Amino acid sequence: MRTIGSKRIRSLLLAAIAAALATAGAVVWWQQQQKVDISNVVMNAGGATFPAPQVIAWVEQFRKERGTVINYRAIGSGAGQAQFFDGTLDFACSDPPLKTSDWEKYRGKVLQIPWLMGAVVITYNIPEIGNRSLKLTPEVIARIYKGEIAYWDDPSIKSLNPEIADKLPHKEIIAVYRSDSSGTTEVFTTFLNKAAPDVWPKQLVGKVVDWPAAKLGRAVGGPGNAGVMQAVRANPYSIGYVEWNYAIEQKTPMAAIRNAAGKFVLPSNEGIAAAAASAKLPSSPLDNFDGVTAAVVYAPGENAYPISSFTFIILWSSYEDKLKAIALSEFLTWVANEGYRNVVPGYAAPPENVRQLLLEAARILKGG
Amino acid sequence: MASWAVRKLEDRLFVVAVILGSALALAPLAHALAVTLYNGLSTMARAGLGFFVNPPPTPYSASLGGVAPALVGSLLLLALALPPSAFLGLLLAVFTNEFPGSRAAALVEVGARAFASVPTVILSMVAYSLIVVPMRRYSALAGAFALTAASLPYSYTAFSSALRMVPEMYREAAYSIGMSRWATVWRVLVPIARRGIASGVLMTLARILGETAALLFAVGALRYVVPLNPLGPVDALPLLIFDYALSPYKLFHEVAWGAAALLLIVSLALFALSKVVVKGVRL
Amino acid sequence: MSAPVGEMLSEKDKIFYFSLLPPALTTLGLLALIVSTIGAKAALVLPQALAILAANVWDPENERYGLLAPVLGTLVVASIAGAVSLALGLPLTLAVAELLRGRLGSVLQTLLEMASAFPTVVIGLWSARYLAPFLSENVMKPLYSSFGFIPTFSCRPLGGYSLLTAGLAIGFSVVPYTASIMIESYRLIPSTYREACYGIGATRYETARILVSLARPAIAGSVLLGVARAMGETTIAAMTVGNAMNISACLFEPSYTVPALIAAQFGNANLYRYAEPVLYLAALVVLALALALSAVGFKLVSGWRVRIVG
Repeated sequence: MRTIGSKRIRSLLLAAIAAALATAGAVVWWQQQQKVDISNVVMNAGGATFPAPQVIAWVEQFRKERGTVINYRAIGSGAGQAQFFDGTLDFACSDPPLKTSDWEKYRGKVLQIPWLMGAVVITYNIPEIGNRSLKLTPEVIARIYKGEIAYWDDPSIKSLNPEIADKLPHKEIIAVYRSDSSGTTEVFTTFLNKAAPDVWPKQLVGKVVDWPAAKLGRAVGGPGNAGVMQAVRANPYSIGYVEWNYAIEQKTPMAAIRNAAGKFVLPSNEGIAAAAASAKLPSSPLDNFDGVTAAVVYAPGENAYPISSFTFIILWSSYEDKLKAIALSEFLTWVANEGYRNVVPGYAAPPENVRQLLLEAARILKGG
Repeated sequence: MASWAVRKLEDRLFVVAVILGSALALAPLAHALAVTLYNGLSTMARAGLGFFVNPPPTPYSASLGGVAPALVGSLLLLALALPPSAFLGLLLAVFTNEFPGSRAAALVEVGARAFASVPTVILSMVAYSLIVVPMRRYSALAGAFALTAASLPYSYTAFSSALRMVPEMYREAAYSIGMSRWATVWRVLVPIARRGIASGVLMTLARILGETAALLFAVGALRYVVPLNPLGPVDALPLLIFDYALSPYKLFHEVAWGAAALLLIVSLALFALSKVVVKGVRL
Repeated sequence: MSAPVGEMLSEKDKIFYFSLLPPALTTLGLLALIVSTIGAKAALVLPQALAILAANVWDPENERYGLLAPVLGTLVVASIAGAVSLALGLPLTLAVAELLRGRLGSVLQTLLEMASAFPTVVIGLWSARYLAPFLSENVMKPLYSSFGFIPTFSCRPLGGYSLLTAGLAIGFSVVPYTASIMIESYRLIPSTYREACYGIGATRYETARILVSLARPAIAGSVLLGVARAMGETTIAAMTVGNAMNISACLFEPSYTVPALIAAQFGNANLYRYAEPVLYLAALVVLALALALSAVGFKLVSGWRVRIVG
């Protein structure tokens, strides 16, 4: 049966489809134009120096694209958490997550996401060795920071590095540590305690630690990852623990550390990923993440880098200033989509389940 | 008594010791001045005029950037802290100059000296506890409070000596034509002391610009954006120098030297200006 | 000079007096506010103050605190700074007020005033970059290798960040201040003394010795005022002292001063229960010492000035 005026109907149909498409396009365009203007929002953030180079790079890029200003002050994880809770910071970055006791106090009101991964490397400044990698074990590192190993040509160091043993000088080791309240210190000391519990006891784990080597006059404190890096560069025969990025930028040598599987590994993205694989993460940003740091550090795995770490962003689940909440949500979404594609050397994007946590947090902020 | 030859030798050695000692006293600061200007001016030359209008670099920046936010922050803090410090200092100086025997004046004298002994980092702690925490934000206001407290003893001392140097005869002349104390102070004494007062203002200005510890916990270091809000965080030149000096990035070190040179040049210029202003005060 | 308050004031003058009271009281009130805030914030740990001051530990995670290292460090650094300001301030005083009393003297004095306008953060920057390495290479290492048996020199320098470097750097920054008070005082010595000395044929050296011994209280007072100022110096200390809770007889090792401790730890102090009160306690101790020293120093200087002129 022939349809009535098929030619006309066909052209009508085509016109309808074109109109529908055009309307759809217009609606989408119009919706895009309705993207909330967050270009005048200014947020104050602060915290860990561990992720600081990456956070600053992301924040700057986000500002160029959307105009929001996020002022990130790298004051250390401890100060970041403290000032987040007393209200002077809108969000904080911290290497360790909130302690269970703190999380309990703010349960349901605070979000945490392990949004970035990095590695703590052991860097040193020994002119006779130059850029060669020393092999070190957790026990040796712990004993250095305890002041028990005093010289670079100590037999325990020499036996780990037979090829360059004769180059190791008889000079006192200067152990550099963080003088401020540092998440990097917490990651490092958690590693020392997990890997060498007989040498490094639980009391010496934390953001600020009573370093035995300092009491013997063998250690110097520097503020921030930057301060430690600077102290290592400026003092021959010193050793320090810093985030991977800092050692890459300053082109200082890094130690190959023996991991739980017995292999000496240098920091690498694969090593970090291998360490992260064994971490069981909670399923919602509202959950308690205490213990995640310890899980990722000295993790099992052939190629796992033993001092890998998540670093966290800590924020409220809702803000009085609605525009601020939207801006923060947009930032988190941007990091999950764009940010993870452009990660600065020395850091690694976290696994996919974390990316979902980030997007979930963005939804919670928007009230969803 | 030793022989003349020995005494002459002692005398010569004495002169040498004094000259050496004086040189040793000033040499470190002279070296610091030279080094700061050398490093800092070369940074400024490389950054060009951008040094005064650009934000600082990030560790990954290609260019040197500038210190605009810290510069504007320092100026904002100055605008907020200098007037209260100067006014209060002047009123106090007038008070102790006019009523020197009174108990209140003695208390003020002691108080001003006590104020001068308070380590400025403590002022910053107090500003944090009393202003930053209740307001829930860092602010130029908190910084200005700490800076006013830090600079008040200096402005008071400077104005006080300026007023004290005005010879009595002007006061007596004013009384003898029936002027009241109030009028005498504001119409005769202060104008005569104006150069010393102006010099005091300039020195207080220099002190406020260079003060670091008082700002540590009060202003929040808004490093990359030029601040426009006195109730929000700001950065300041000395804070920037302090932070950048302790970092490992060569770029940051260069910016620190540039900012240090800027601060130094401004301080010395203010000092020179204050000397010129006071020159030729014939009393 | 002017009439004392009381019977001799007219009505108008009384109004004037009372109109100036508010600013005076505000200032005194401000001072009281500051001191009471510090005291109130330290109150929590005041009962254990002596125990805290005697211990050497900084372990906020386990809430264990000890201020012995920073307090001792502050005293050592301030003493070194005081010694430096005496050793260098006296020659400056003699140069300006005794030897070079003409144009050259006033040029030197102007240079001195210029030096006191030097921002301390710039001195800190210079000390960290230049002074510390210089001292480490040219002073500490030689002293260690030659005189290592003396406890003060018995350790190998670690890059130069130490109490000695901090003390010297702060000393250099305080010299202009101390010297200016010394000069002002020295100038008050009536010229009759000097004329008498030269009149009996004394050399410049002998005259200076006599005048300096006359001015001893004022010189001591100036040094005490300089030491009080050195105690509170933050930026230079934070950049040169090494930030380590370490007590040692050796001056070449890193250690702490109270202002440097506050600068490093206050920012994160409210994460822990007792860290902030302990830091306020430390501040209270330094404040009390500084106030006491300046009071004594001022008394010495002004008392002497009254005597010497009268």
